[in-house]
Amino acid sequence: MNTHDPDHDDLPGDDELKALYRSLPRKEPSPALDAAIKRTAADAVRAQRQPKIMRWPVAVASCAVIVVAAGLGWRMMQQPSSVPQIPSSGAVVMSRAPSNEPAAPASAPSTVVADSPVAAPVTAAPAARMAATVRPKQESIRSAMKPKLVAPTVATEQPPAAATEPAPMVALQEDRAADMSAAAPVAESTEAAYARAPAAPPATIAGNLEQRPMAAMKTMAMPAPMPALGDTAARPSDTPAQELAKIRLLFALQRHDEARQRLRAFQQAHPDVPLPDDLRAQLPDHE
Amino acid sequence: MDALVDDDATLMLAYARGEAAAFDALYARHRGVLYRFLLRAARDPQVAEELFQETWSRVIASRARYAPQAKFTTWLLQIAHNLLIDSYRRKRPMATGEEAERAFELTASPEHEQPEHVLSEFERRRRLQLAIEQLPDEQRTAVLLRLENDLSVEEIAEVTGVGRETAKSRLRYAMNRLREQLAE
Repeated sequence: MNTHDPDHDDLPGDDELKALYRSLPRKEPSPALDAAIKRTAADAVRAQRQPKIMRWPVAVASCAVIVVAAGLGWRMMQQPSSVPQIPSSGAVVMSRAPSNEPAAPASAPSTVVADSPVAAPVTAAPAARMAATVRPKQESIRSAMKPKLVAPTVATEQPPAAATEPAPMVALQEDRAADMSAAAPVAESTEAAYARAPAAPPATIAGNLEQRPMAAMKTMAMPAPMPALGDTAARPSDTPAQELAKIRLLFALQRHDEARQRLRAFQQAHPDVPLPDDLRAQLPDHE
Repeated sequence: MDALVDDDATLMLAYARGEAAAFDALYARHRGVLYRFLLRAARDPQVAEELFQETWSRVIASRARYAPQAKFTTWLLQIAHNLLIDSYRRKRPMATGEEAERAFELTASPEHEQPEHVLSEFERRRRLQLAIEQLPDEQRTAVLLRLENDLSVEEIAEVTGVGRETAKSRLRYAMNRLREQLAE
Protein backbone atom coordinates (compact mmCIF):
# COMPACT_ATOMS: atom_id res chain seq x y z
CA MET A 1 0.00 0.00 0.00
CA ASN A 2 3.01 2.21 0.17
CA THR A 3 2.82 4.91 -2.42
CA HIS A 4 5.61 7.10 -3.56
CA ASP A 5 4.61 10.54 -2.46
CA PRO A 6 5.91 13.59 -4.31
CA ASP A 7 4.84 15.61 -1.28
CA HIS A 8 7.16 13.70 0.98
CA ASP A 9 9.55 16.60 1.40
CA ASP A 10 6.72 18.97 2.12
CA LEU A 11 5.77 17.03 5.25
CA PRO A 12 8.69 17.38 7.63
CA GLY A 13 8.89 14.71 10.30
CA ASP A 14 6.80 12.32 8.29
CA ASP A 15 9.22 9.42 8.61
CA GLU A 16 9.71 9.97 12.32
CA LEU A 17 5.97 9.97 12.95
CA LYS A 18 5.49 6.91 10.82
CA ALA A 19 8.12 5.03 12.73
CA LEU A 20 6.62 5.99 16.04
CA TYR A 21 3.14 5.16 14.83
CA ARG A 22 4.25 1.69 13.76
CA SER A 23 5.46 1.05 17.25
CA LEU A 24 1.91 1.45 18.54
CA PRO A 25 0.03 -1.71 19.42
CA ARG A 26 -1.30 -3.27 16.25
CA LYS A 27 -4.78 -4.19 17.24
CA GLU A 28 -6.80 -6.50 15.05
CA PRO A 29 -10.44 -7.48 14.82
CA SER A 30 -11.58 -10.26 17.08
CA PRO A 31 -11.93 -13.79 15.70
CA ALA A 32 -15.66 -13.58 16.28
CA LEU A 33 -15.86 -10.48 14.12
CA ASP A 34 -13.76 -12.18 11.45
CA ALA A 35 -16.02 -15.21 11.51
CA ALA A 36 -19.17 -13.09 11.28
CA ILE A 37 -17.91 -11.20 8.26
CA LYS A 38 -16.69 -14.30 6.49
CA ARG A 39 -19.97 -16.01 7.18
CA THR A 40 -21.85 -13.05 5.72
CA ALA A 41 -19.70 -13.19 2.62
CA ALA A 42 -20.16 -16.94 2.23
CA ASP A 43 -23.93 -16.68 2.75
CA ALA A 44 -24.15 -14.01 0.09
CA VAL A 45 -22.36 -16.24 -2.40
CA ARG A 46 -24.50 -19.20 -1.43
CA ALA A 47 -27.69 -17.19 -1.88
CA GLN A 48 -26.34 -16.11 -5.24
CA ARG A 49 -25.84 -19.71 -6.32
CA GLN A 50 -29.01 -21.18 -4.88
CA PRO A 51 -31.48 -19.73 -7.37
CA LYS A 52 -29.56 -21.36 -10.22
CA ILE A 53 -29.78 -24.72 -8.50
CA MET A 54 -33.41 -24.37 -7.51
CA ARG A 55 -34.65 -22.93 -10.76
CA TRP A 56 -35.10 -26.12 -12.73
CA PRO A 57 -37.29 -27.98 -10.21
CA VAL A 58 -39.57 -24.97 -10.03
CA ALA A 59 -39.80 -24.85 -13.80
CA VAL A 60 -40.49 -28.58 -14.04
CA ALA A 61 -43.11 -28.37 -11.29
CA SER A 62 -44.78 -25.44 -13.01
CA CYS A 63 -44.93 -27.33 -16.31
CA ALA A 64 -46.35 -30.40 -14.55
CA VAL A 65 -49.05 -28.36 -12.87
CA ILE A 66 -50.01 -26.75 -16.16
CA VAL A 67 -50.20 -30.13 -17.92
CA VAL A 68 -52.31 -31.65 -15.14
CA ALA A 69 -54.62 -28.63 -15.04
CA ALA A 70 -55.05 -28.67 -18.81
CA GLY A 71 -55.77 -32.40 -18.75
CA LEU A 72 -58.34 -32.04 -16.02
CA GLY A 73 -59.97 -29.16 -17.79
CA TRP A 74 -60.16 -31.08 -21.05
CA ARG A 75 -61.53 -34.12 -19.24
CA MET A 76 -64.19 -32.07 -17.52
CA MET A 77 -65.18 -30.48 -20.80
CA GLN A 78 -65.60 -33.96 -22.30
CA GLN A 79 -67.74 -35.25 -19.44
CA PRO A 80 -71.35 -34.19 -18.90
CA SER A 81 -72.00 -32.09 -15.89
CA SER A 82 -72.83 -34.09 -12.79
CA VAL A 83 -75.06 -31.35 -11.48
CA PRO A 84 -78.34 -31.12 -13.38
CA GLN A 85 -79.21 -27.71 -14.67
CA ILE A 86 -82.52 -26.70 -13.17
CA PRO A 87 -84.43 -24.38 -15.40
CA SER A 88 -86.34 -21.44 -14.08
CA SER A 89 -89.88 -22.15 -13.02
CA GLY A 90 -91.23 -20.11 -15.87
CA ALA A 91 -89.38 -22.18 -18.42
CA VAL A 92 -90.66 -25.38 -16.89
CA VAL A 93 -94.20 -24.15 -16.89
CA MET A 94 -93.95 -23.24 -20.52
CA SER A 95 -92.56 -26.62 -21.48
CA ARG A 96 -94.79 -28.75 -19.36
CA ALA A 97 -98.18 -27.10 -19.32
CA PRO A 98 -99.35 -28.03 -22.84
CA SER A 99 -98.91 -31.78 -22.37
CA ASN A 100 -99.94 -32.10 -18.77
CA GLU A 101 -103.03 -29.98 -18.77
CA PRO A 102 -105.18 -32.46 -20.68
CA ALA A 103 -103.92 -35.33 -18.55
CA ALA A 104 -104.64 -33.64 -15.28
CA PRO A 105 -108.12 -34.27 -14.11
CA ALA A 106 -109.89 -31.25 -12.82
CA SER A 107 -111.20 -33.20 -9.86
CA ALA A 108 -107.76 -33.93 -8.50
CA PRO A 109 -105.73 -30.79 -8.78
CA SER A 110 -103.51 -31.41 -5.80
CA THR A 111 -101.40 -34.09 -7.50
CA VAL A 112 -100.84 -32.29 -10.73
CA VAL A 113 -100.86 -28.96 -9.13
CA ALA A 114 -97.16 -28.71 -9.76
CA ASP A 115 -97.76 -29.06 -13.46
CA SER A 116 -100.66 -26.72 -13.79
CA PRO A 117 -100.33 -23.01 -13.41
CA VAL A 118 -104.03 -22.82 -12.63
CA ALA A 119 -103.43 -24.58 -9.38
CA ALA A 120 -101.11 -21.90 -8.06
CA PRO A 121 -103.77 -19.91 -6.24
CA VAL A 122 -104.89 -23.03 -4.43
CA THR A 123 -101.76 -23.18 -2.28
CA ALA A 124 -101.33 -20.81 0.59
CA ALA A 125 -98.81 -18.01 0.33
CA PRO A 126 -96.96 -18.78 3.61
CA ALA A 127 -96.48 -22.34 2.54
CA ALA A 128 -95.05 -21.12 -0.73
CA ARG A 129 -92.55 -18.95 1.08
CA MET A 130 -91.50 -21.85 3.25
CA ALA A 131 -91.04 -24.10 0.28
CA ALA A 132 -89.00 -21.45 -1.44
CA THR A 133 -86.53 -21.45 1.42
CA VAL A 134 -86.42 -25.21 1.89
CA ARG A 135 -86.22 -26.24 -1.74
CA PRO A 136 -82.79 -24.98 -2.74
CA LYS A 137 -81.12 -26.84 0.11
CA GLN A 138 -82.96 -30.07 -0.60
CA GLU A 139 -82.35 -29.91 -4.29
CA SER A 140 -78.69 -29.27 -3.83
CA ILE A 141 -78.42 -32.29 -1.55
CA ARG A 142 -80.43 -34.41 -3.90
CA SER A 143 -78.43 -33.36 -6.92
CA ALA A 144 -75.24 -34.24 -5.15
CA MET A 145 -76.58 -37.73 -4.42
CA LYS A 146 -77.81 -38.40 -7.94
CA PRO A 147 -75.90 -40.73 -10.24
CA LYS A 148 -73.63 -38.97 -12.65
CA LEU A 149 -75.03 -40.38 -15.87
CA VAL A 150 -77.56 -37.59 -16.15
CA ALA A 151 -77.24 -35.68 -19.37
CA PRO A 152 -77.60 -31.95 -18.93
CA THR A 153 -80.34 -31.68 -21.51
CA VAL A 154 -82.35 -34.35 -19.77
CA ALA A 155 -81.76 -33.04 -16.34
CA THR A 156 -83.43 -29.80 -17.19
CA GLU A 157 -86.65 -31.60 -17.95
CA GLN A 158 -87.07 -33.99 -15.06
CA PRO A 159 -90.17 -34.05 -12.88
CA PRO A 160 -88.31 -32.76 -9.80
CA ALA A 161 -87.75 -29.58 -11.73
CA ALA A 162 -91.46 -29.25 -12.08
CA ALA A 163 -91.69 -29.04 -8.36
CA THR A 164 -90.23 -25.57 -8.54
CA GLU A 165 -93.68 -24.50 -9.44
CA PRO A 166 -96.33 -23.82 -6.80
CA ALA A 167 -97.70 -26.45 -4.38
CA PRO A 168 -94.95 -26.37 -1.78
CA MET A 169 -96.51 -29.07 0.34
CA VAL A 170 -96.34 -31.40 -2.58
CA ALA A 171 -92.79 -30.35 -3.13
CA LEU A 172 -91.78 -31.31 0.38
CA GLN A 173 -93.44 -34.64 0.06
CA GLU A 174 -91.81 -35.20 -3.27
CA ASP A 175 -88.45 -34.76 -1.70
CA ARG A 176 -89.24 -37.23 0.99
CA ALA A 177 -90.48 -39.74 -1.54
CA ALA A 178 -87.41 -39.12 -3.64
CA ASP A 179 -85.18 -40.07 -0.79
CA MET A 180 -87.17 -43.21 -0.19
CA SER A 181 -87.31 -44.30 -3.79
CA ALA A 182 -83.67 -43.52 -4.34
CA ALA A 183 -82.87 -46.29 -1.90
CA ALA A 184 -84.77 -48.76 -4.06
CA PRO A 185 -84.53 -47.58 -7.63
CA VAL A 186 -86.73 -49.33 -10.10
CA ALA A 187 -84.74 -51.41 -12.51
CA GLU A 188 -86.35 -51.28 -15.86
CA SER A 189 -85.00 -52.17 -19.25
CA THR A 190 -83.99 -49.34 -21.46
CA GLU A 191 -86.46 -50.40 -24.14
CA ALA A 192 -89.37 -50.48 -21.73
CA ALA A 193 -88.47 -47.16 -20.31
CA TYR A 194 -88.20 -45.75 -23.76
CA ALA A 195 -91.59 -47.19 -24.62
CA ARG A 196 -93.08 -45.34 -21.69
CA ALA A 197 -91.25 -42.20 -22.40
CA PRO A 198 -94.37 -40.39 -23.62
CA ALA A 199 -95.75 -40.68 -20.11
CA ALA A 200 -92.75 -38.85 -18.85
CA PRO A 201 -92.56 -35.09 -19.14
CA PRO A 202 -92.78 -34.11 -22.78
CA ALA A 203 -89.47 -32.38 -22.84
CA THR A 204 -87.86 -35.79 -22.54
CA ILE A 205 -89.35 -36.74 -25.83
CA ALA A 206 -88.00 -33.67 -27.38
CA GLY A 207 -84.53 -34.82 -26.42
CA ASN A 208 -81.99 -35.99 -28.89
CA LEU A 209 -82.70 -39.41 -30.32
CA GLU A 210 -79.30 -40.56 -29.30
CA GLN A 211 -80.01 -39.47 -25.79
CA ARG A 212 -83.30 -41.31 -25.51
CA PRO A 213 -81.91 -44.44 -23.86
CA MET A 214 -80.14 -42.23 -21.42
CA ALA A 215 -83.32 -40.28 -20.86
CA ALA A 216 -85.16 -43.49 -20.20
CA MET A 217 -82.50 -44.57 -17.74
CA LYS A 218 -82.76 -41.22 -16.12
CA THR A 219 -86.47 -41.65 -15.87
CA MET A 220 -85.94 -44.97 -14.17
CA ALA A 221 -83.36 -43.68 -11.78
CA MET A 222 -85.33 -40.59 -11.08
CA PRO A 223 -87.00 -40.58 -7.68
CA ALA A 224 -90.78 -40.75 -7.84
CA PRO A 225 -92.57 -37.82 -6.39
CA MET A 226 -94.55 -38.54 -3.25
CA PRO A 227 -98.24 -38.15 -3.94
CA ALA A 228 -100.21 -35.83 -1.79
CA LEU A 229 -102.09 -37.27 1.11
CA GLY A 230 -105.31 -38.73 -0.18
CA ASP A 231 -104.07 -38.65 -3.74
CA THR A 232 -103.68 -42.32 -4.42
CA ALA A 233 -105.64 -42.54 -7.62
CA ALA A 234 -103.93 -44.42 -10.41
CA ARG A 235 -103.13 -42.31 -13.38
CA PRO A 236 -101.93 -43.47 -16.78
CA SER A 237 -99.31 -40.77 -16.83
CA ASP A 238 -97.70 -42.08 -13.64
CA THR A 239 -94.31 -43.60 -13.96
CA PRO A 240 -93.70 -46.96 -12.29
CA ALA A 241 -91.93 -45.22 -9.48
CA GLN A 242 -94.85 -42.88 -8.95
CA GLU A 243 -97.28 -45.76 -8.96
CA LEU A 244 -95.21 -47.65 -6.42
CA ALA A 245 -95.09 -44.55 -4.26
CA LYS A 246 -98.86 -44.32 -4.36
CA ILE A 247 -99.14 -48.00 -3.44
CA ARG A 248 -96.86 -47.40 -0.51
CA LEU A 249 -99.06 -44.52 0.52
CA LEU A 250 -102.11 -46.77 0.43
CA PHE A 251 -100.38 -49.21 2.73
CA ALA A 252 -99.49 -46.36 4.99
CA LEU A 253 -103.12 -45.26 5.07
CA GLN A 254 -104.10 -48.81 6.16
CA ARG A 255 -105.93 -49.36 2.89
CA HIS A 256 -104.27 -52.74 2.46
CA ASP A 257 -106.85 -54.34 0.21
CA GLU A 258 -106.78 -51.56 -2.30
CA ALA A 259 -103.02 -51.40 -2.08
CA ARG A 260 -102.60 -55.11 -2.75
CA GLN A 261 -105.01 -54.87 -5.66
CA ARG A 262 -103.01 -52.02 -7.11
CA LEU A 263 -99.81 -53.88 -6.53
CA ARG A 264 -101.06 -56.90 -8.45
CA ALA A 265 -102.21 -54.62 -11.22
CA PHE A 266 -98.81 -53.06 -11.25
CA GLN A 267 -97.13 -56.47 -11.53
CA GLN A 268 -99.30 -57.30 -14.50
CA ALA A 269 -98.70 -53.96 -16.15
CA HIS A 270 -94.98 -53.97 -15.46
CA PRO A 271 -93.84 -57.58 -15.29
CA ASP A 272 -90.28 -56.55 -16.01
CA VAL A 273 -90.09 -54.21 -13.06
CA PRO A 274 -88.97 -56.01 -9.90
CA LEU A 275 -90.93 -55.03 -6.87
CA PRO A 276 -89.12 -53.44 -3.98
CA ASP A 277 -88.71 -55.74 -1.01
CA ASP A 278 -91.05 -53.82 1.22
CA LEU A 279 -93.90 -54.03 -1.27
CA ARG A 280 -93.19 -57.63 -2.22
CA ALA A 281 -93.59 -58.52 1.44
CA GLN A 282 -97.09 -57.14 1.38
CA LEU A 283 -98.31 -59.62 -1.23
CA PRO A 284 -100.20 -62.58 0.21
CA ASP A 285 -98.33 -65.11 -1.93
CA HIS A 286 -95.03 -63.84 -0.68
CA GLU A 287 -93.14 -66.53 1.17
CA MET B 1 2.35 -2.49 -5.46
CA ASP B 2 0.74 -2.68 -8.88
CA ALA B 3 0.72 -6.42 -8.66
CA LEU B 4 -0.94 -6.14 -5.27
CA VAL B 5 -3.55 -3.77 -6.66
CA ASP B 6 -4.18 -6.11 -9.49
CA ASP B 7 -4.41 -8.96 -7.06
CA ASP B 8 -6.98 -7.11 -4.97
CA ALA B 9 -9.09 -6.34 -8.02
CA THR B 10 -8.75 -9.89 -9.27
CA LEU B 11 -9.79 -11.27 -5.91
CA MET B 12 -12.76 -8.95 -5.73
CA LEU B 13 -13.89 -9.88 -9.21
CA ALA B 14 -13.48 -13.55 -8.37
CA TYR B 15 -15.60 -13.07 -5.29
CA ALA B 16 -18.22 -11.29 -7.36
CA ARG B 17 -18.34 -14.40 -9.54
CA GLY B 18 -19.11 -16.48 -6.46
CA GLU B 19 -15.73 -17.65 -5.15
CA ALA B 20 -15.94 -17.32 -1.39
CA ALA B 21 -12.24 -18.17 -0.98
CA ALA B 22 -11.31 -15.02 -2.90
CA PHE B 23 -13.08 -12.94 -0.32
CA ASP B 24 -11.24 -14.66 2.49
CA ALA B 25 -7.92 -13.78 0.88
CA LEU B 26 -8.98 -10.20 0.31
CA TYR B 27 -10.23 -9.89 3.84
CA ALA B 28 -7.02 -11.29 5.29
CA ARG B 29 -5.04 -8.64 3.44
CA HIS B 30 -6.99 -5.61 4.59
CA ARG B 31 -8.64 -6.49 7.85
CA GLY B 32 -5.92 -5.26 10.19
CA VAL B 33 -5.21 -1.98 8.45
CA LEU B 34 -8.87 -1.12 8.09
CA TYR B 35 -9.66 -2.08 11.64
CA ARG B 36 -6.90 0.05 13.14
CA PHE B 37 -7.83 3.00 10.96
CA LEU B 38 -11.43 2.81 12.16
CA LEU B 39 -10.44 2.15 15.75
CA ARG B 40 -8.24 5.23 15.99
CA ALA B 41 -10.49 7.40 13.91
CA ALA B 42 -13.68 6.54 15.78
CA ARG B 43 -11.94 6.42 19.20
CA ASP B 44 -14.48 3.91 20.39
CA PRO B 45 -13.87 0.18 20.03
CA GLN B 46 -17.56 -0.64 19.84
CA VAL B 47 -18.24 1.95 17.16
CA ALA B 48 -15.12 0.83 15.34
CA GLU B 49 -16.31 -2.76 15.26
CA GLU B 50 -19.71 -1.71 13.95
CA LEU B 51 -18.15 0.42 11.25
CA PHE B 52 -15.71 -2.33 10.36
CA GLN B 53 -18.48 -4.85 9.96
CA GLU B 54 -20.65 -2.44 8.04
CA THR B 55 -17.81 -1.60 5.69
CA TRP B 56 -17.32 -5.22 4.76
CA SER B 57 -21.05 -5.74 4.50
CA ARG B 58 -21.18 -3.00 1.92
CA VAL B 59 -18.27 -4.51 0.06
CA ILE B 60 -20.17 -7.80 -0.02
CA ALA B 61 -23.42 -6.18 -1.08
CA SER B 62 -21.86 -4.19 -3.89
CA ARG B 63 -19.65 -6.95 -5.25
CA ALA B 64 -21.69 -7.24 -8.42
CA ARG B 65 -21.25 -3.54 -9.16
CA TYR B 66 -17.55 -3.45 -8.41
CA ALA B 67 -15.49 -2.18 -11.30
CA PRO B 68 -11.70 -2.03 -10.89
CA GLN B 69 -11.43 1.59 -11.97
CA ALA B 70 -9.69 2.64 -8.74
CA LYS B 71 -7.50 0.78 -6.32
CA PHE B 72 -9.41 -1.63 -4.15
CA THR B 73 -7.84 -0.03 -1.07
CA THR B 74 -9.08 3.39 -2.09
CA TRP B 75 -12.57 2.03 -2.69
CA LEU B 76 -12.56 0.20 0.63
CA LEU B 77 -11.36 3.25 2.54
CA GLN B 78 -13.92 5.45 0.81
CA ILE B 79 -16.67 3.21 2.11
CA ALA B 80 -15.16 3.24 5.59
CA HIS B 81 -14.66 6.99 5.53
CA ASN B 82 -18.25 7.64 4.52
CA LEU B 83 -19.46 5.48 7.36
CA LEU B 84 -17.10 7.27 9.69
CA ILE B 85 -18.48 10.66 8.64
CA ASP B 86 -22.01 9.41 9.28
CA SER B 87 -20.88 8.23 12.69
CA TYR B 88 -19.37 11.63 13.48
CA ARG B 89 -22.58 13.34 12.45
CA ARG B 90 -24.68 11.09 14.61
CA LYS B 91 -22.48 11.79 17.60
CA ARG B 92 -22.45 15.56 17.57
CA PRO B 93 -22.90 18.50 15.23
CA MET B 94 -19.73 18.97 13.30
CA ALA B 95 -18.08 22.17 12.19
CA THR B 96 -17.19 22.40 8.54
CA GLY B 97 -13.70 21.46 7.51
CA GLU B 98 -12.53 25.02 7.13
CA GLU B 99 -13.99 26.09 10.47
CA ALA B 100 -12.45 23.14 12.24
CA GLU B 101 -9.06 23.89 10.79
CA ARG B 102 -9.30 27.53 11.80
CA ALA B 103 -10.35 26.55 15.29
CA PHE B 104 -7.45 24.16 15.48
CA GLU B 105 -5.00 26.89 14.53
CA LEU B 106 -6.34 29.23 17.20
CA THR B 107 -6.51 26.65 19.93
CA ALA B 108 -3.50 26.78 22.20
CA SER B 109 -1.64 23.56 22.82
CA PRO B 110 -2.34 22.07 26.23
CA GLU B 111 0.39 22.56 28.77
CA HIS B 112 2.51 19.57 29.44
CA GLU B 113 2.80 18.51 33.00
CA GLN B 114 6.52 17.88 32.95
CA PRO B 115 8.20 19.61 29.98
CA GLU B 116 11.69 18.78 31.14
CA HIS B 117 10.91 15.10 31.42
CA VAL B 118 12.74 12.91 29.00
CA LEU B 119 10.02 10.81 27.55
CA SER B 120 10.36 7.13 27.51
CA GLU B 121 9.42 5.27 24.39
CA PHE B 122 6.28 4.10 26.09
CA GLU B 123 5.39 7.63 27.01
CA ARG B 124 5.99 8.83 23.46
CA ARG B 125 3.62 6.22 22.13
CA ARG B 126 1.01 7.15 24.68
CA ARG B 127 1.33 10.80 23.79
CA LEU B 128 1.05 10.06 20.12
CA GLN B 129 -2.14 8.15 20.71
CA LEU B 130 -3.58 10.97 22.80
CA ALA B 131 -2.51 13.55 20.27
CA ILE B 132 -4.16 11.66 17.45
CA GLU B 133 -7.34 11.32 19.47
CA GLN B 134 -7.40 15.06 20.17
CA LEU B 135 -7.16 16.06 16.53
CA PRO B 136 -10.25 17.33 14.76
CA ASP B 137 -12.01 14.60 12.85
CA GLU B 138 -10.87 15.62 9.36
CA GLN B 139 -7.26 16.01 10.42
CA ARG B 140 -7.30 12.79 12.37
CA THR B 141 -8.69 10.95 9.36
CA ALA B 142 -6.08 12.46 7.08
CA VAL B 143 -3.17 11.67 9.32
CA LEU B 144 -4.38 8.12 9.98
CA LEU B 145 -4.73 7.51 6.27
CA ARG B 146 -1.16 8.67 5.98
CA LEU B 147 0.35 6.84 8.95
CA GLU B 148 -1.73 3.69 9.05
CA ASN B 149 -2.60 3.20 5.41
CA ASP B 150 0.41 4.97 3.96
CA LEU B 151 -1.63 6.85 1.37
CA SER B 152 -0.34 9.73 -0.69
CA VAL B 153 -1.89 13.18 -0.50
CA GLU B 154 -3.75 12.50 -3.74
CA GLU B 155 -5.13 9.26 -2.39
CA ILE B 156 -6.16 10.92 0.86
CA ALA B 157 -7.95 13.56 -1.16
CA GLU B 158 -9.70 10.86 -3.18
CA VAL B 159 -10.75 8.88 -0.15
CA THR B 160 -12.01 11.86 1.81
CA GLY B 161 -13.59 13.49 -1.21
CA VAL B 162 -11.81 16.82 -0.98
CA GLY B 163 -9.35 18.64 -3.14
CA ARG B 164 -5.66 17.89 -3.04
CA GLU B 165 -4.77 21.17 -1.34
CA THR B 166 -7.36 20.71 1.35
CA ALA B 167 -6.08 17.24 2.03
CA LYS B 168 -2.53 18.44 2.13
CA SER B 169 -3.44 21.31 4.47
CA ARG B 170 -5.23 18.97 6.86
CA LEU B 171 -2.34 16.58 6.83
CA ARG B 172 0.21 19.29 7.48
CA TYR B 173 -1.72 20.80 10.40
CA ALA B 174 -2.24 17.38 11.90
CA MET B 175 1.41 16.40 11.67
CA ASN B 176 2.57 19.70 13.10
CA ARG B 177 0.24 19.20 16.00
CA LEU B 178 1.50 15.70 16.65
CA ARG B 179 5.11 16.84 16.56
CA GLU B 180 4.33 19.64 18.98
CA GLN B 181 2.67 17.26 21.36
CA LEU B 182 5.62 14.91 21.26
CA ALA B 183 8.16 17.69 21.71
CA GLU B 184 6.54 19.17 24.78
